Amino acid sequence: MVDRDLSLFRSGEQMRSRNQRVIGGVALLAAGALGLTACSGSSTSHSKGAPSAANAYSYGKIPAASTTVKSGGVLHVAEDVGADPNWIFPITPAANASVYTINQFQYLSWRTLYWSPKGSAPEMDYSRSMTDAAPTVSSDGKTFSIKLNGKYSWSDGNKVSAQDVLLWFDLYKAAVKESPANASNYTPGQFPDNATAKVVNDQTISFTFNKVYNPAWILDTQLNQIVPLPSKEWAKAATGGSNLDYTQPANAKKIYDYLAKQSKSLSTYASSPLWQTVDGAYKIKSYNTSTGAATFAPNTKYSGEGKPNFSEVDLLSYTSPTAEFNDLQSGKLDLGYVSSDNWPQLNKIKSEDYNLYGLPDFGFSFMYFNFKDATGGFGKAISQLYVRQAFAHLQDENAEIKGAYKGMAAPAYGPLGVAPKSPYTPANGLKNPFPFSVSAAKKLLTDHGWKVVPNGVTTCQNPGTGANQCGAGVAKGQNLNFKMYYTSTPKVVGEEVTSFAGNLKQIGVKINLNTDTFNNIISNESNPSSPKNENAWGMADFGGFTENNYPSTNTLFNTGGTYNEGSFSDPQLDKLINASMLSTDPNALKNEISLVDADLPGIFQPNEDRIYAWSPKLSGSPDAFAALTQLMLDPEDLYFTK
Amino acid sequence: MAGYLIRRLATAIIVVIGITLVTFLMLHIVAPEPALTILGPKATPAAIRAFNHAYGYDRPWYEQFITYLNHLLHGNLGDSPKDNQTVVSLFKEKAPLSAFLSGVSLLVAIVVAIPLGIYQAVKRNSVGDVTATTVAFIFYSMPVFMVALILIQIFALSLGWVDPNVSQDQTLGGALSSWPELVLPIVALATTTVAAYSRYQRSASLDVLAQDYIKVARAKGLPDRLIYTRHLIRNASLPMITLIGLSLPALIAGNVLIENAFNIDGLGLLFVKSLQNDDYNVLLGYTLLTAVLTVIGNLIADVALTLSDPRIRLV
Repeated sequence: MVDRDLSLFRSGEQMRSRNQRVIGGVALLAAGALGLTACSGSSTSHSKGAPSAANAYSYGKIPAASTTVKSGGVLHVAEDVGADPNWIFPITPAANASVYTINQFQYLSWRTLYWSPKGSAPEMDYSRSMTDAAPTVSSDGKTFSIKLNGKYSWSDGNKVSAQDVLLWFDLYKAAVKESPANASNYTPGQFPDNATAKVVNDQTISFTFNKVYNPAWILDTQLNQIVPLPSKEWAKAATGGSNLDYTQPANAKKIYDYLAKQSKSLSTYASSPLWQTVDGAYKIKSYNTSTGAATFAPNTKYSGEGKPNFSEVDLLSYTSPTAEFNDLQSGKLDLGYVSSDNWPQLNKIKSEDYNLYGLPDFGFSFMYFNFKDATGGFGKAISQLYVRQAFAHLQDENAEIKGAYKGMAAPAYGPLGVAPKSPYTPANGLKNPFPFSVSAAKKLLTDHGWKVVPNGVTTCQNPGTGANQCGAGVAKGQNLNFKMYYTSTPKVVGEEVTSFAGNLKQIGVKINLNTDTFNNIISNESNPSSPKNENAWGMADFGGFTENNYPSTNTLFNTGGTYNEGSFSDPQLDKLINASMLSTDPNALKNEISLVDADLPGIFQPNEDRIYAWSPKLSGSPDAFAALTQLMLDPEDLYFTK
Repeated sequence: MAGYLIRRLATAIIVVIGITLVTFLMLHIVAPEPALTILGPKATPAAIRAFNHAYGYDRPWYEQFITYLNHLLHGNLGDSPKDNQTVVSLFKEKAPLSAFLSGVSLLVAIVVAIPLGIYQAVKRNSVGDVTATTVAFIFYSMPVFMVALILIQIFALSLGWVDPNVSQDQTLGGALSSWPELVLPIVALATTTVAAYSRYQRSASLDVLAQDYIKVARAKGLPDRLIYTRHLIRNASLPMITLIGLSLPALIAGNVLIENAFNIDGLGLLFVKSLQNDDYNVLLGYTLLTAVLTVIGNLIADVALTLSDPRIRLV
């Protein structure tokens, strides 16, 4: 699966998302049943789908799949506000990459080699993948062989083959060689720079990496990006041109340039024969260049999991969550989201018998520290773990969930929250290691030589590096006051930050709060981006990041990491982060996350539910509905019941 | 008149270039390199460098500005990397519907407000005048989005007479084919404008009614109908010409709040989204468009005023 986190940072209405899924073994059952559907317009029955696995932190519930399947009908689905898809070719430039463009637009027509998540769980879903299992690894640990399962075919009748995987790889190489900004997931030195590909036979391809990496890292961050492309139709450099040998870099560049150019031509999305060769369940029928609204027709040759039951899938465009919610209320939408702005009106939807389900997507939100802030010596003070622990004790997650989120959020004590649960979530990520306690925070400071003055100014009275002293670099008389920036939208960020500030006051720490735009915060309150500002802020909060199935904090919290906004540094964590990528230890990532939880490079915040509503006449695999919370749209697993 | 127009046009070009320069500089001060915003906070340094190079953001600002002006002379307003389109095509797509909605609502407002204002002036302090004044003040003080929300709640969600949102086919032709959906946004836009214009018209009409030539006409026994049609309407409408001329930029710029409420992906929303994305070329193009329209609106108002009032001479 494509690493979706690049464009997904948690702030702003359309960008608050992370990914995960409900674990449920119902996909096969429901999808298999769908295969029994009768022809258009008729109704039939199939075996009943089981409800998705319960999740303690979910909102609402997903009903079991209906036994009545009506083929046909137009499914009206809401696009997220401001997320108009505008890039159809499945090698997406960073400027055009968004989870909506990739997951809810491109994936309807072109499927990934490895499908993920599984329901809402951040795992591979082999029932929906083009291969039945993880790749086999050579004895030297460098070569990964992938055998396709032959389940998927192109709409022109050709089977998806190893050559189609190779075409993607060669075009990806050409794209990033031309410009690193041509592929949203590209990191120099990683895929495809670190590997070579070889077609073994029509259904098998192998990738040989330049060194031994953790196999899980390879699968979940490198190979998961692959989207096979129709080599017999797309290996051209001009409309009507002949097929080129794409293994030649010069040809690959020509092909990439041609396809990218076609993708820039929004007005020809529906008319270009290129985009009609698909292996997904639907293919584009119309596209509105002004709004990004699109309609999709069923791919009658679809051979993969599920079935294109609808006669048409309409992606509707919205200018505001209110406009989208109005269409939900009026019944115009069959499937849409309920943004936090409209949570107070959830009862209106319930009264119309709409189904509701919500869960956080996979990722995290946090307030991060600036360890370089020399103003008042704050950077030195916050470098002391006990100070960060004291601060962590002053974030009342339960109160925030109850108040700011109206109960529709799940707690998080590290980069992996309690829901959705990842196989890599460590024990200290499931139970709050620093529960809200003013007295515990106060004790941590007084035990280390601080004179705590509630609602006053707490100061260091006992400087030094001893166990009961303030710590290295902290001067006598120094206080813990600092300046903090936070994003003005969504408003829940402000509520969390002001609550935190109020709690800090109780131990004599005053925050000078400042709001700013998301854009300004990611640019200015970031030591890698704006080193000149490193003394201008002590903490910041712009939201957070989404994650992929292998949520290593590499680049986020390793020393000198590109997105290590506050310059956190722990040599031990650096080692563990390195091991997550390079060691073959299956527990490497869990160990890394466990240390991040303990290290507190920031204060991790609750994860907001993404809530979806759907018409009572819409049913299907519970996993498909659970996957919505991870911003996946799987219409091939859905159908109308009447 | 010709000399005046030439001078005004020359001044306008200088004004527009000046506005472009100021906007360009301000954007570069606020966000010197928009790559991070456009590519996302996890964009790699290599991708950021490549993006800045591709769009010329790694060059000195004055070089960028000269290039921009050069492109401008060739009718090229640049590309929007976020929207994957040229700025010109974005404007072409979004302007017609925005202009139609604003234009029709302005027309409705004029058709309603001018007679209403005159009626109120003529029937000053009558029940009708007081009622109209009260209603006008209510709508004048009410934000346009509030009017929109009330209309949606009553006519779309409660009564179900129309859809709450404008058609998804946002070409002008497509929207017109579902014309009932355009009624609420036009009414919402027109209502607040009527409230404002009718107050201006009432005030202007009262001024005219107090003029000596009206009193003379009455003393000579001219019927009220003729006094109003021959003397009052034309003279009392002169201030409205300036007001309407200055409304011209709004015709194209659209109305952000109404577009937001009725799901119209117009120029106003494009501007807001571009602000959020640091989409330089769209912001520059939009500012330029607004500046040009403001200048044209002023010019049209001046010329129309001259044509309507022989006492005014353009020199």
